[in-house]
This record gives sequence, structure tokens and C-alpha cells, in this order.
Amino acid sequence: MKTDLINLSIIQKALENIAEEMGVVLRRASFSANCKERLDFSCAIFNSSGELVAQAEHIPVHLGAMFSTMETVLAHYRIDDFKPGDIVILNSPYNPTGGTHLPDISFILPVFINKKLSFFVTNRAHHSDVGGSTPGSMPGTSTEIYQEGLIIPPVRLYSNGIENREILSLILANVRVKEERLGDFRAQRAALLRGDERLKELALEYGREVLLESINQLMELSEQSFSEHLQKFPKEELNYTDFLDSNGVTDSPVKIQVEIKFIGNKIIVSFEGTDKQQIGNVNCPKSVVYSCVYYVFRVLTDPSIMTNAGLFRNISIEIPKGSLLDPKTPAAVSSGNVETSQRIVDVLLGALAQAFPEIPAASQGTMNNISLGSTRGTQPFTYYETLGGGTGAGKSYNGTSAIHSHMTNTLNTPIEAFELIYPFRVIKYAIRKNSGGHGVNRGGDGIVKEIECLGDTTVSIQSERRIFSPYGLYKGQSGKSGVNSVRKKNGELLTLPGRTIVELSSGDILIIKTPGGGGYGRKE
Amino acid sequence: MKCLGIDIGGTFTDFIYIDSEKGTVTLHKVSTTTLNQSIGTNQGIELFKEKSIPLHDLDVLVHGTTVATNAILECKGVKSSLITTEGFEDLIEIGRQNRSNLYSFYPTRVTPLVQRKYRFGIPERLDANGEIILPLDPSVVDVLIEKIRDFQIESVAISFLFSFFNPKHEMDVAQTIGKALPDIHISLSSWVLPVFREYDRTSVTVLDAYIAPLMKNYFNSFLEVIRNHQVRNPPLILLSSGGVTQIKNATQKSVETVLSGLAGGVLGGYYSSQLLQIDNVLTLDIGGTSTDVASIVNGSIEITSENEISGYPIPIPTIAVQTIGAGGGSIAKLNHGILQVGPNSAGADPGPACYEKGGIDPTVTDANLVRGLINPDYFCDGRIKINLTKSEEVITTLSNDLKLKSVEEAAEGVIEIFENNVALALRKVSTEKGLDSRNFTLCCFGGGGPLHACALAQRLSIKQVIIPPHPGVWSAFGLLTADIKHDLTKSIIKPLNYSVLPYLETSFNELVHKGIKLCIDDGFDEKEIIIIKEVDIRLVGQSYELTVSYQDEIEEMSKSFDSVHEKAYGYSSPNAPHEVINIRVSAVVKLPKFSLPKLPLGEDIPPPESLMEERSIYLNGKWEKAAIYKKDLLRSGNKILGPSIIEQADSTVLVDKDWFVEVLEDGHLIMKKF
Repeated sequence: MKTDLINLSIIQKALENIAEEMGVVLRRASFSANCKERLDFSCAIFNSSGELVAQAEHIPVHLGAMFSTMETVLAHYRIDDFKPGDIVILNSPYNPTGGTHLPDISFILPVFINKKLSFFVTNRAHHSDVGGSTPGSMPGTSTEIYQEGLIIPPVRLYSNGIENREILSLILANVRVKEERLGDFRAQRAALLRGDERLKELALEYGREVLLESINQLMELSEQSFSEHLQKFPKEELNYTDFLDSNGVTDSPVKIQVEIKFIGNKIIVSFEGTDKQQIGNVNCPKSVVYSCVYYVFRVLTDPSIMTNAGLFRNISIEIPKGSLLDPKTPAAVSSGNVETSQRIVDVLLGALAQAFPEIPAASQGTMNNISLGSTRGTQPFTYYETLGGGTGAGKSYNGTSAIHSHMTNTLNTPIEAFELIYPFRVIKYAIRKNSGGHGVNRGGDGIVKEIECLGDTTVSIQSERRIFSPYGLYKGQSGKSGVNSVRKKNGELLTLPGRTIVELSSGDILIIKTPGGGGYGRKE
Repeated sequence: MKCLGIDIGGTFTDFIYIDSEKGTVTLHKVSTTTLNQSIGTNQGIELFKEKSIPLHDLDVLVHGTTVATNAILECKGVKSSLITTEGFEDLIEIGRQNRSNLYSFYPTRVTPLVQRKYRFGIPERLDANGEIILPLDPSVVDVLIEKIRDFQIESVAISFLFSFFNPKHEMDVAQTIGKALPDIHISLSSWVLPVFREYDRTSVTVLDAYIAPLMKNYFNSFLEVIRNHQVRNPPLILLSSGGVTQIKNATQKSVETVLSGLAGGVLGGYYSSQLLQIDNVLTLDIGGTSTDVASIVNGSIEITSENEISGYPIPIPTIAVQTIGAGGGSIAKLNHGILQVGPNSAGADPGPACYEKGGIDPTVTDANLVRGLINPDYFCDGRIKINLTKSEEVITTLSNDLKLKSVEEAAEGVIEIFENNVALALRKVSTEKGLDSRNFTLCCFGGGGPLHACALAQRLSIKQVIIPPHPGVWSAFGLLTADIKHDLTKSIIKPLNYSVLPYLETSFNELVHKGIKLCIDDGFDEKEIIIIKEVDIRLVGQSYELTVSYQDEIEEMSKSFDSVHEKAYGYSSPNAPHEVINIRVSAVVKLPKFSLPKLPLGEDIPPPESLMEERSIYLNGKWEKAAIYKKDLLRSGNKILGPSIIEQADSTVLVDKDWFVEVLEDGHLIMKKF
């Protein structure tokens, strides 16, 4: 039976709204600034075969990652293993895969309608600490995943609605701020329960079978809309290669290579030729690569097409096993999600730009992850932030300055809030003028931020595009590379590498200049 | 009592005049004159002359305006400058570093209201305790004054880091500039909003500077209009917080008028709920292009400090209203194989296809016309001519695209999707906040609200609906119910323990003093002023606060916070350290209230002259006969069964099948489901 278009339209809106409402509950109930202010979480609905039904994400790096998590859970459990009230949690990128980096913990709850397993509701939130060698669980120089925190394979935190206290206490024994974790776990569960309730209401209104059938139709509609865009894609193969500045430990560049083919109704994205997995933490789990590919094609086609499994049916992604983009255990991955992801997007866009003039030049291509902390003194602290930069210029517009691009979109911490809590003084927080690449259209400018230490501080930086600058297009100039440096109290200026851990003392000033975006077209 | 409410909306300017001694209500609408709103105001006031209603003896005149709102939405404020601490000139451009469009190759965010070349940093710095660590150099200000003069800047915003703890530098700079350039408007962040988080504070200060000269001009021309009509009492202006104040005070903090146009409707709904003694109400105002929803919980309107306009934060207390792009003019369109209604709107020009002003897209109004719900001869009191054939044409095309069998099926489909969108907005202010919509009454107004009231109630499992006596001008009516109110906030940011009490007390005294002065400036006596004190508290380490009443016992405040936290987030942490973030003072003066004129008492059965005709309307997939009544001829106590329609000059009420309506003595309708 086919649902008429009117009901189909209403069901689609209702499903989107359930995903969003789960997000509202998660944000409201969560404790940590990561969820509350930076919106580093996502919510989704899947059908019983693990196909994406609807999703609400605030940062694109979660776009494709949700359903590889679902795939993992379904591979790990038999369908009749699930009971109402069960909640499976996981963060592991290995054996099985599905995770992105360890701080992202996913929660999955099966939804039963008329006693039949009908949906899964899931969410994923970035927890500000999951143990490991440094506070924040994103050690800048990790060489294996064990240093990055507690690995949680799929386990049932709730069985039949009853909390497994033993698993919970095992987790809490391994993390730094227990109350915060507990608060966020509760929020993640509350969000799933709300999704469960709303899906049941919707099924009551339309009937289970009609609802499930309508969802299949909606997936077909998404697939169709996406395919229509494919018609105008070129038949040639597109290639591009770009490099990470470093592998996380040494300054040897790491190659990412892509080939994109359009065959009939399919897009084949192959990363053959990409370097092998690395000693440092730049390795990037497959689920993050999926997010990057889906992000690029979603923007390239039409972002308003309904996000469900149908949308991505015609994209096939090939990644060589054991490479940077599908590493084997125990490769370190903490920077894959935040840094390598940005370069994957640059490489994909670089390839597509050869056929699509609407594609802009490279954006800053990094998130400029800065961790400040001290275990000395009376009050130990850790603080983490990312910095925006310039975005690439396009055919008909200049790039935007001092903004987050592509795979992230998290907010900054107000300077006054920062200085009220931590022993620092911000000297400058401004647009880095003239850092965008010249061209007919100019790349956006980066940011310059100067932070004076008022006490001893350990600074950990994970940043990219300090050596290979963001490319321009059609002979537009590339954006300026980023620069990390320290002006010592005695006036001496030291340049720091892109990835580093450095000890500073009172009076030293950390200076971060983030990259500008590439220019577009040669300016005569 | 004689009161006049003037409410300027996007399409219409509404007037409502109430003489409670005579028991009369007079209302009319004129087109909003966008370029100079006081022209429309003048036309509307002239109409009272034609109706032989004198305005010289008005007791109260309250005005809600969208001058500030429009200036911001259209980026048409004055040429402004921003002075910041050196090194932070780009604060308002960087914003929070995030983009507003997640999936686009061209990331964008709001355009800063002050261009780079008009943003100046000057050397000065306070530390996180408000102590001066880099003193201000007066000679730098002199250079600035030259630039401001050369650039012909009309208005200046000043915002320094940590000025909420110590306004000295801001005041020094303002004084020097003020002396040299007396005609320039100056907004200080330590006056507009002395609270921490520099982007929000600076942004709202810039907004204030950007619109202040415009508001001053507008209020002057408004005053001239009403003085020409011999109105003696000074008019009151509605603020975004739902309070009113005199023009003199309103120009001191123009930014408080940015949501003036939205607040009236909620106040109207609040009045209705209080009158009928209903504690939990969702208010719904459906207009031509947008719909506003808000919730009244346990008898109070929700106030928020997290509002925004057009992407610019307005962290001052405002009524919490959700606005969505859904209204009578919303366009129905197929997109990726599914039908969408809104947010694009045909507006008033060209308007729906039935207006015959060149609109070719099917709209919600067209669909309602096809369903027989709107009387083509009595639309807006018969003043707007509409053509059913045009509506049928555009909906037929849509029906073919949707592969539906009939034009009416498509019309009902458009309405279903429209109502679904509005229902989702209602859910956002109720069920999504953990409130059970079944315990709420829906209060529907705006020209379009009463037509969709029953269907929307059903979608939220609401069993009771109230319709105010004059739904089409209920926002204007709401203006007349407001009280004088001044909100003041100040950041404290100290641990919540006994040692903070003396500091809290002096800070509260400072705000109370300011509040009292504002009320006295509004012409009231100190005895009439009610002071409300609140504190924002959070757990140390959290990045968000909750507001509770101020008590002089620390433990009591701590406990109230824990219980509010428990309610909002499902858990509390009484043993974790708490901190006071902000203090809040509201200075309120209750204004005298009038009563609505009473309808004559009638029987259960409406008087025969009120029944106009029987008409076929399309409801739930079939054509049904419905009785059509005229609201003006109904009497108190009349009861009508659905399906039926009640027509009045400013709106049309649909009583759905399985619903019945009762007319109340003050003209409200109350609808209940069997």
C-alpha cells in the first residue's frame, strides 16, 4: 500500500522533529559544556534493519558516523537479543568498528511497537574526558589507542530497563570527572526515551505497517532526488592528492589520495593510493571518512534532500585496509576526527573542483585544537578549545573570515568566562588581516589569538596547515599557513610546530595564527 | 476608563479603542506604512474622528511598534561606530566562530552592524576582578573624536572587557566624546547590559546604538501625530519584556523595544487566560506571514534572556515567543517529492492567488477558500475583494501535481501540512519542555487562528479552546493590559556563601535605586512601586544558569536552585559548590484595569437573526452542511454545535465536528470537544 503524498509529507516532518526533539532533551539535560554550549552531539532514528530514517546533527563529522555505529551493533548482536529497555553503548573504533574517537560515546535503544522490534533510536555525544594519558582524552602525541582513553566495545548499560551498575562503575573508575559523565549519560538516556515515546505515538496514529512502509517510500524519494542530481555529473574520473603536515609524531607529510568516478547511477569514491596507517594519532576510522564523503555530496547536490538511508545509497566508498583511513588496532586515532577529517574534505573538493566550478578553494583545513592545563599549583585545571579560520573563496563570493568550516561548527568560549576561571589573560582575539589568498575573489582571513599565561602551563596543540597551505583555485593564491609561536617573557619569539606539547611560565604569551582560505581566479 | 491600543504589524496597523463606562469597543485596521509608520498611525487615528470618537480625554494610550525590529531585519539602522578594548575590535564579526548554515560551500553568519573601518580599539584593560591594569590614555580618545567626526558617525557603542564590574573607562570615554560631539548618540555596555560574556554584551550594545537615533526620531513623529489629535496623557510604549514605559525611558534603552511587536499578542492571551481563570495556556497568533506561539505555565508568562533577532543575540529579558514562517499567505510547493507549506509567503503583495494581485502560487488562504471556510464576500469585513475561481485554479494545478482526485482533497492536504507545522511549533513550547499538552487550553487569535483552533487542539490532545472577542486585533488589545516594568541585571560571579551577602545587598540596592528612578520618571509615586529580586545561580563548572527568587538566607536560595535544577534537568547536586552569576531586579507599577463590555444575556439557542445561512464546507474528506453565524448578533450563553462557522469582521471561527462552542458574557468563545 502506498501512503498518499500528504501523509508522507507529514510523517517526514514528524520523524525529523523526533530526531530534533531528542537533541533538545539531550542538550537540556546534559551537564558538560561540550553538549550544552558547543553542541557536540547528534541524534538519529534507524529502522530495524539498521537503515537511517532521520537524523539531527549539529556538526557534520557525525553525519555518516551514526550509521556505521548502527551497522556495528547489528553485526554484534542477533536481532532477538534485543529486549525493550535495553541500551547498548560503545565508543570503540576497532573490533568491531563504528566509533570515531574515544570521547564520542554512542547510546542505542531498540524501539518495540506491538511487541515487534521496529526502530532503533541512537545518539552520540562528545564527552570531555574518557580517561587515558592526558585530561580531555585527546593526547597530542599518542601512538596507540590505549593512551587515548577507555575503550568501550558494544555493551548493554541497561538490560530490560535496569542499569548495569557494574559496567557503569567500571567506566566511571576510568574517567576524570565522574559526576559530569554520569550527568551526560543520564541526558543521553533521557533523549532516547523521549524518542521511543514519540515513535510509539506516531505508530499509534498511522499504524506500524503504514509507518514502516511510508519510511521506505521516503527513502526512495531521497534516493530519487539524489539520482536526479547525478544525471548532470560528468563521466570523467576526478583525482586529487593533498598532504597532512605531519603524522603526529614526526614532520613527515602524510598523503591522502582520492579518485572519484561516476558510473551510471553510482558514485565511486576510492582512496586507493593513500598512505598506510601512521605511528601518530592522525589515523582516521572509516566512519569519519564516510561522514566526510557524505558531507561533500550533500552540499554539492542539495542539502534540503531528506537525510535518510536513501540519500547515500548511490555512493560507494572504497578504502584500502590498514591505511590511514581504515587503520587497524591499536593505531592512535584522536586527531583523525578533528584534523584528518578536514583534509579528507579538502582532497574530495580538490577533485570535484575540476568538474564543478561552484566548488570553492580550500578552507583553513584544521580545527586548531588547543589544550591548556596544569597539574601544579593549588587548582589543577584543563581547558580545551578550537579556533576558526578563513574559508575558501568561490566563483561568486569572497571567503568568510574567522569561522569554523566543513566538519565542525562548535562555539568559542567567551573571553570573560575564560579569564574568570583560568589563570590567563587574552591580549588579542582578532581577524588575521590579509591571510586569505588573493584572487578575483579573496579567501577569508584567519584568526590571531594571543594568550598570556599567568602561571605555569602545559600547552598541547594539534593543528594542521602549518606547512602545506590551503590551496587556491583557478590560479587564485593559496591562503597563508597557520603559525604557532610563543613570545617569551624576555621578548624572545619561538616558533612552535603544528603538533606539540610545550611548557610555558607566567608572562609567556602563546600566539596562534590560524590559516586563511584559498583565493579563486587570478587577479590581473 | 478610555484606552487606545495601537499595534503596528508587518501588514496591518491595528487600533482598538475601549470605553469601559459606555461599554463600547471600536476597532479598525489600516495598512502599515513601512517607510514612516507614523503616517499609518495618523490615518488610523483620523478614522476615530470619522467615527466621532474624541481622543483628547484618553486615560491610556499604549503603543507597540516594529520600527526597531524592521531596522534590524533590513539592516537599516544609522551609521554607527564601536569602541572596544584594543585587540578586540573584531569581536562582533567573529561572533561565536560558528556559521549559520551547516551545509553550504559558502559559510555565512550575520553581518556585523558596524563595518571594520568604524570599529576602533583603544589601549585600556581591566582584569577579571574589574581592577584597572592598563589605564586609559585620554589623548587616544581625542584622535577617535576626529575620526568619528570625519566619518560622520551618528551613533557610538562602547564596550570594554569586564566593564560590567567597573564602568569607569566606558564612562570616561563617553563623557569626553559627549562633550566634543553633543549630537551623537552613545550606548555603553555597562548601562545597556552589565553582564559577562563579551560577545553578547557588545552585540546588544551595538544593536542599541544602531537603532537609538531612529527610535528617537520615530517617537518624536509619533508624539506629534497624537498631539495633533489633542491626546493629553503621555503615551506608553510596549517593551519586549511585556512591560510598558514612557517614551523618555524607552529612548534610554531602545534595544528593549526590538520585540515590542511580538509581546502584545502574548499579553492578550495572558489577559484572556486570567479572565477565565485558566492557569496553563498555549497562545497562538496566526497572521499573514508568520505564526507566534508562547506558553503560559502556572499563571505566568515565560520570560527568557536567550532570545535573538535575525541572528543577533538579545540577552535582555524578553517574552519567550516562538515565531515560525506559517500564515495565511504561506505558499504550498512540492520539494523532493513531498509537499511543503511555507516558510515562503505571498505576503500582502501579491498576496494569495484569490487577491488577484498577480499571486500564482497556492496558499493557505486559497485552500481555506476552496474548502468553503472563508466567505468571499465578507473577507476583512468585506474590504478586501477575493476571487474563489483564482484559488480553485491554483489548487487544481497542485492537485494534479500531487496526483489527487479532487481540488478539495488538495486544499485539505495543504491545510493538514500547515496545521502540522503549527502543531510542531506548539509542541516546542509545551511537550518538548516536558509539559503535558493535555493539561493546556489553547488560546487562538490573529486573523487566521480561530479557523484552525479545533484542528490544532486535536493534534495536541487539547480538549478546550478559547477565542478572544476580537481575535484579529488581540495583540493591540494586549497592549492595554500591560503594567509599567523595568528590568535591570548585573553580573556578580561569586561563590554562593555568607561572605557574598553584603556584596549582593549593595548591588541589589544599586539596581533597585535605578528601577525606582525609572518608575518615578514614568510619573509614578515610590509607594506604588513593587520590587522583585531574583538571582541567577549555577553549579561551579557549569556554563549555564537558572533563575530563582532572592532570599536573604543562602541555604534557602541554594535549595530553591536545587529544586529548579531537579525539575529542569532531572537531577540536582546539593553538595556541589554553587555560584551566583547575575542578580535581577524588576521594578513594577500595576496600572488600573478596565473591563470588557458585556454581551446581553441570551438562551442556549442563538437568536434566529444571528444565523446567516447554511453553507457546504469541506471537512475531514467530505462536504458537509454547516450553519453560518454572525458573531455580532450572538448573545452570552448561546451554544452552537459543530460543524459551524462564526464570522466576524476581523476573523472567522470554525467549530469542528464533535466540538461545541459557548459564548461567554465578555465576548470570549469557549470551545470544547465532546
